[in-house]
Amino acid sequence: MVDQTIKIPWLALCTVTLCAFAAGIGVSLWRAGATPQVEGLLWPDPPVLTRLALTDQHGAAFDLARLRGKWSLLFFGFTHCPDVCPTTLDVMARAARELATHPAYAAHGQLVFVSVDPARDTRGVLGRYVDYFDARMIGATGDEAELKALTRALGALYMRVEQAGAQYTVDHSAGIFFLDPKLRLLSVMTPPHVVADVVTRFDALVAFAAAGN
Amino acid sequence: MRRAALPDAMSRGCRAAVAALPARTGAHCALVLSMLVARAPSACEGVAVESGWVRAAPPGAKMTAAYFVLVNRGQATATVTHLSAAPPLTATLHATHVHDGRAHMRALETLDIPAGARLEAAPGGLHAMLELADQPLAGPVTLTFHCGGTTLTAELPISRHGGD
Repeated sequence: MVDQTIKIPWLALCTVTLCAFAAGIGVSLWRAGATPQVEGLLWPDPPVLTRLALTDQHGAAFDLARLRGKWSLLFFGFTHCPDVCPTTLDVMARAARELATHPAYAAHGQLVFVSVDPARDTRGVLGRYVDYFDARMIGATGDEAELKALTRALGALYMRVEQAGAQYTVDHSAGIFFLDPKLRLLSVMTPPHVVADVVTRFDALVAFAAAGN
Repeated sequence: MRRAALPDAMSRGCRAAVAALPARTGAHCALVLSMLVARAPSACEGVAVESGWVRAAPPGAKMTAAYFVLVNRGQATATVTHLSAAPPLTATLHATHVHDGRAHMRALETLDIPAGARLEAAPGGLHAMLELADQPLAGPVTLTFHCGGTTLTAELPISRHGGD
């Protein structure tokens, strides 16, 4: 009698332990399967955009609806920037030309240049500038409150820096921001940027999202 | 008073002293250095522009950048004190640094090219900032490097992204 009362709880305990162990393995395998190796992936808690009120180069609202359902490659900069901005926008435009044959980009991809220098980057200036790189590139900007809200939400930064002779430059985040159709910031690619790497990152993020994430 | 070439070891030694010693000593060292420098005019002799290009500017852009490779086959450090470009362009030495994911662009006062060195100005780093003065960019661009009393001039082709 005594032996039996002892054996039953031990058996139950072993069963429970084995089940828990098996469940643990199962969860690990499931997680491994759901999270493929994507370099620079902001997961499992990607920032999600909940507010956007900018204006594009045509004077149209550039709001969350313009990003929802799209894959957006976004870059912050300004047109008086001689080096890093044209360098990055050129890489983005060439990546977009390569991605034109990739279904997700062809159907839902877009390039966005957000100017953090609204005083000098008027609609006309911005329009001519983005058209040069890619006829479908969106140029957007807005007032300081909205630019700050956007950069803060994406973990980006910009800061006006005064220079001699009433001139100024703007320090700004130099990454390419990848936003998915659900307004999630899935990745930020830091410079130096290479066309092939941008294409690879885009495809990897699309595959990641297509796996049900 | 222009900064110019110094024997490398002297320049390095003083820089190290400036970094390591109290502020007063550093200032004193800098003063001695600048006095020495004034007596050692730099020259572009031995320096050559191996290659270079100017990024084509989008319509209406006020600025673009020139990139180049300088080689110093001379026996002493050459110091570029400033740049000039054919009017209406204005050229200044700048460098972009990316720190914590943020790009900073700052003017450089001078640029040292040690003896035997090959110095590359490339997108995302060292460059000549070109102000376009509301004129479309027409090429090639004549860029002049001033090293103390001498100059080095190069004709740089305009290109959309280099290498084409």
